Amino acid sequence: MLRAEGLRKAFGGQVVLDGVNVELHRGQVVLLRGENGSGKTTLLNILTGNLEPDAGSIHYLADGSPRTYRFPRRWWQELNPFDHFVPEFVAREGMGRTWQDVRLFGSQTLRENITVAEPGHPGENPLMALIAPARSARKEKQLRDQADTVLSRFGLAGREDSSADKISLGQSKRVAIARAVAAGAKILFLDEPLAGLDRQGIADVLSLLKTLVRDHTLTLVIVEHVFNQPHLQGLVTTDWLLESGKLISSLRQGGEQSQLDPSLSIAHHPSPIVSRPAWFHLLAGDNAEIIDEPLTRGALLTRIRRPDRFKPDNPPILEIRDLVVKRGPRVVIGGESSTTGGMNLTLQTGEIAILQAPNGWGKSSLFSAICGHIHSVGNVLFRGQDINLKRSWDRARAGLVGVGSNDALFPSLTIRDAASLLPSISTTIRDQSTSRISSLSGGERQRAVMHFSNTRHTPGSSLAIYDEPFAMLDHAAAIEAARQIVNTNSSTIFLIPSSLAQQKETV
Amino acid sequence: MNYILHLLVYFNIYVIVAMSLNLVVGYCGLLTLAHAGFYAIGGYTYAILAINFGWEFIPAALAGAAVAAMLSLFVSVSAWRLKGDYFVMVTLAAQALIFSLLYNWTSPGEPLGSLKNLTNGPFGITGIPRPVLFGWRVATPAAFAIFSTVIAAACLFVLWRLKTSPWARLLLSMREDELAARGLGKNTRLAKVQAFAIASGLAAIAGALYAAHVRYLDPSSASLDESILMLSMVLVGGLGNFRGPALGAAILILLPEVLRFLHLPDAQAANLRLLIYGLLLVVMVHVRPQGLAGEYRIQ
Repeated sequence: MLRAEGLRKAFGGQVVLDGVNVELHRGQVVLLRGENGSGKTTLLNILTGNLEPDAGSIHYLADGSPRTYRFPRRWWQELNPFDHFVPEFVAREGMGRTWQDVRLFGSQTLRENITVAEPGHPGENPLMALIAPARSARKEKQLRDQADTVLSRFGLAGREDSSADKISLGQSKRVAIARAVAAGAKILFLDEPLAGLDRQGIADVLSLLKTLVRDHTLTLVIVEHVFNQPHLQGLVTTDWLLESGKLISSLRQGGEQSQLDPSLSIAHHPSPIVSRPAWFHLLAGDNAEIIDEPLTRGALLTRIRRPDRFKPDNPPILEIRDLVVKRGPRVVIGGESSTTGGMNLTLQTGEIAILQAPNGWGKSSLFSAICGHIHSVGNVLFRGQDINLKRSWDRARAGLVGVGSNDALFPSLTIRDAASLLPSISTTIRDQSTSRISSLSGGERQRAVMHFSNTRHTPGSSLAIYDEPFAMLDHAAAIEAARQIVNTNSSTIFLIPSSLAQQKETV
Repeated sequence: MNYILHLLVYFNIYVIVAMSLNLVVGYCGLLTLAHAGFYAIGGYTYAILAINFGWEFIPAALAGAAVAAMLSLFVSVSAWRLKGDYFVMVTLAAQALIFSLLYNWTSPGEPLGSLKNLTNGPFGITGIPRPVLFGWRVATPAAFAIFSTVIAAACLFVLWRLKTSPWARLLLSMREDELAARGLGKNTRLAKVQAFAIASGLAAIAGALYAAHVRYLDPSSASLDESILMLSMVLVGGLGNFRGPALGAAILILLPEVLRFLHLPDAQAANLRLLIYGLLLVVMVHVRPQGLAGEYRIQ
């Protein structure tokens, strides 16, 4: 259905893809694997028309009329606006894709998100909309019914009129897949479809993908984080491994493993130490006292009190009293019922605290509220002083170090420039110091964030808060990040990782 | 009474302008400063066709709309690649280009509308005939007010049909996440061209209405101030829905008139009015950035 030959792509001299050959057949389910920065997302972007390769050719054969693009493109091909290598034309050849950050049309309802995908809708021609509104309305009615059927089949019945920015992450991922299928996708490229989901969300998306492969003989190409790859067993028929610019394709012994990964059925139990990821053990060290403290709505706060950092008579460094955070009209944190007030939380100086919570709990909102990026109601006491009315930069100066997830970089600066804003920088990242931050892969960016943040800690009694510190890092990189976190000058550390359920890597 | 009728005509003209501009700014999320240029092109086309060839209002206005829609390609094609500030710069350039064409396409002694003297330059075109509709000349102020209301209603009907169509939903999807829309196979570049052509064509019809009402036209109709006034109407009223721009047009037409009744000292009146006007805009942007009745906040 799709054949690509000799694909090459380099970013500023760094060769990412070097003669990649790809062949896809109907009903195949491909797992695309590779190290951080090996070009998984680049390959996905090229095959879906979002990025033009430097050389090679792509043949789209899924549709009745095959279409071939050869690269590099000639200048006269650019003169014809209907012959450009752009995502909309590639999508019409039956290529669909979903994004890691979902990208639904937030102000529209779920039903509209599905109906808008219909290819060749007569009402999308303004002239037809003007002179033949009845025809467009008939089609529209039919599409709305279809969309409702699709939504209810995907377990979203009753949510048709919800606005797309008001549903949970797991639901929105399913809607995004439904939307791509409604747009006529025959090959579906999924960029981390399980990322950020808890167990229930993963199970829902997986069963949806199975249905699509079985009933619609859809072809899937999945890029997934190493932690989530075991969930895909039984679904995947082919492995693609990207290594130093080459693609190695291998068939899996599929078929007999139709059961879901057994670990899925294990109930979500708080943290028995064996299920904790390797970075946790590194943070805890030896002889640490570990306290699990349940919070509201299924969250769990784990306090690590290492004898070298924590003294029992230490004063609290962060006290949160009656905190209520709203995003728009929606209450994200606090106010679960009319009787209980906001959220309460106290951290003692010297602790390493880890907050685990399901998706949609408001982890990122809590991070933003403590750092002062968003408005919140209630008291936030930092070293005894209420800072909740202070601006974020005043909080930073007072010793509150907030390290956001990887979007908190300056994308157009080079690594050297970004590092010069913050003096000391480790050597591993200096190797690439002239490339732009925007050219780094997701995992490399996260590493850069960790490196940069290290220079911001002031010695003494400061507090460092990390939002999703291990996101997009593979095993070794996560360990390295944890090592850096332990070695910072901050006395107290507060980690808010993405759901631990997916990070089942153990020592 | 004539004063009220005059205000009504102005409101009708600017309602068309603001609503058409909303199609581009509110629905596509593309900030343009070239709208007054297309408005003036409509006015000039009507004036020249009516004076030189005795055309009636409707064919002449439609011809103006066609010219404006064609010229809008220069702006919309650049929107294929450019976004945000860079796109605003392109529209600013287009606006300056149209203005200087209207200002400079003249040579003394040549007849108006000839290839050497198309626009009469800075002197403007005088004596534009009253509009003729199927042989009937719209002569009295009351008749013109009714005539302009009918034209505005027709334009709004077109916009309303478009607004409720799947095409508008496509524009909204494109505004929210263009990459996702393209990933679904939506030709967003074509949609931008369509939106700009329709918006510019409607602005041209409003321009023809203006030329027929005032009966004098000079290049100041295509000035940057005029574009900013149009944009202010949309921003004050609110983006992305139907009532917002209408409200904005009403406020920005009535505001100077209300200030006129404040009996400001003559010497400072004009400046003070501008000051009050500016202050209101600043307060507005701070207090309600999405406009008085808007749904969408421009980034």
